Amino acid sequence: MGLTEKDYQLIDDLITDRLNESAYTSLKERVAQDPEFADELRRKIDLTKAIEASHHELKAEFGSMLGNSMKRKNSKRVLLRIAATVTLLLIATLFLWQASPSKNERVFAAYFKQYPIPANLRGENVETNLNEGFMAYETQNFSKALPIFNNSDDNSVSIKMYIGNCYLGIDRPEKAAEVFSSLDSEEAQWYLALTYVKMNQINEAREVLEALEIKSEIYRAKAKELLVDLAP
Amino acid sequence: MFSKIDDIRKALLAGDNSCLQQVFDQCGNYCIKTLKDKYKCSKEDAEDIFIDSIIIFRENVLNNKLQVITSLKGYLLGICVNKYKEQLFKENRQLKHLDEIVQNWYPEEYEEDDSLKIINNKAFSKLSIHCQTILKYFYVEKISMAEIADHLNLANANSVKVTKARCYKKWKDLVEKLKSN
Repeated sequence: MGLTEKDYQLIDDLITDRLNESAYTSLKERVAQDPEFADELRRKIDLTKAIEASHHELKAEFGSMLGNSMKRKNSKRVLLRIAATVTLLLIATLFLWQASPSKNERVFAAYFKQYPIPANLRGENVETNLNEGFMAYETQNFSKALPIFNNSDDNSVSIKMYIGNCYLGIDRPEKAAEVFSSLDSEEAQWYLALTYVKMNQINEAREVLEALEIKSEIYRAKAKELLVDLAP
Repeated sequence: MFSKIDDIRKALLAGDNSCLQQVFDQCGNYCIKTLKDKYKCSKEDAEDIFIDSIIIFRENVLNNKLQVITSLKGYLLGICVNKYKEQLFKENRQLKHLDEIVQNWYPEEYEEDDSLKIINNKAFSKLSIHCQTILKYFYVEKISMAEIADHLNLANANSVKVTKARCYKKWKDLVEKLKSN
C-alpha cells in the first residue's frame, strides 16, 4: 500500500513539531507496523540531518571568518593603543623637555647675579622716583622699576645697567643685549655675554667672553670658567 | 567601498564564500554590539545571531532577493533583529529538536551510517540554492509555508508546497544516484 498525501503531511508535521498529542500517539503505532511509512520518516530525518550538517558547516566557516575579523579589529585596537601610548609618551617627553631648563638656561642661572645697587646710590640725594625704582628693583619688581629708570634724567652707566637687568628680569633679553652692548664697560660686557647665553647665541657669547678673558682683570677667571661650561 | 551585490553573487555562485569577509569586517562589530547593548544578548548569542544573519544574507543574495542595498549595516542589523525575535519565539514555543524526535521514534534502530550520511550531505549540497533554502526553512527553521512564500517572494503557500515536494524528490533521486555510483 503506497503512502498518501496525508501520510507525507503527517511526516512533515512530525519533523517540524506540528503534531498534537493524539496524532503523535497514533503515529507511533503506524511506524511500528508500516515499514514504508517508517522508511519515509527515516528519509525525512536523514534529509533534515543533511540540512543541519550543511548549516553547521557554513556556520563553522563563517564563525572562523568572524574570528578573523575580530582578531584583526583587536590587533588594530592594540596597535591604536600602542600608538596612543607612544604619542602620549612623546608629548610628555616634549612637555618635560620644554618645561625643564635647557643647558644654556642652567648655565645662565648659575652665573647670573642681579646687578647690585650700592648704598651710596640710595638716600636723600637721589631723585625720589629713582629711590622708588631701586626699591622695586631690589624686590625684583622689574616691570615697575623699568619705566622709572627709563624716564630718569640720570643717564649714567649704572642706571643703564639696571635697565639692562630689568629687561632680563622681564624676559626681554634682546632689549637687554641692546642696552649692554651700548655700554663700554667690562661689567656691561659680562652681562652682555650672559644675555647672549640666555638667548642661546653661544658664538656671540664666546666672542665677548674671549675678549673679557684677555682684557679684564676682574672677569678673566669667570669668563674662562664660563667658556669651559659653554664648550659643546 | 563595498563590492556590488552582483560581484558578491558571482563569487558565491562560484563557491567562494571568502568575499563575505568584507561583510564581517564592515558590519560584524556594529551588529554584535547593537545586539549586546540594545537587546541584551550575551556575546556568544550575539555572534551566533550575526553568523546566522550572514547565512541568510548569503541566501538572499544567491536567491536574487536583493539587487541594491543602500546601507549594508542597516540591512544586516534588520536581519539580526528578526533572527533574535525568531529565536525568542522559538524558545517560547519550546520546539522539539530533531534528535529528540529521533530518540522517540527510533530509540535503538537509528544508527547513522557514515557513508550514507556523506551521500545525503553531498546530495543536499548539489541542490540549487533555492531548493536548499526552502528545505532548510521548512525542516530546520520550521517556518510555515506562508512565511516561506513571503520570505522568498513566491506566489503563495501552495507554490512553496509544490516546490518543496519537487526539491525533496530531487534530493531523493540524487541520493539514489550517488548510492549507485
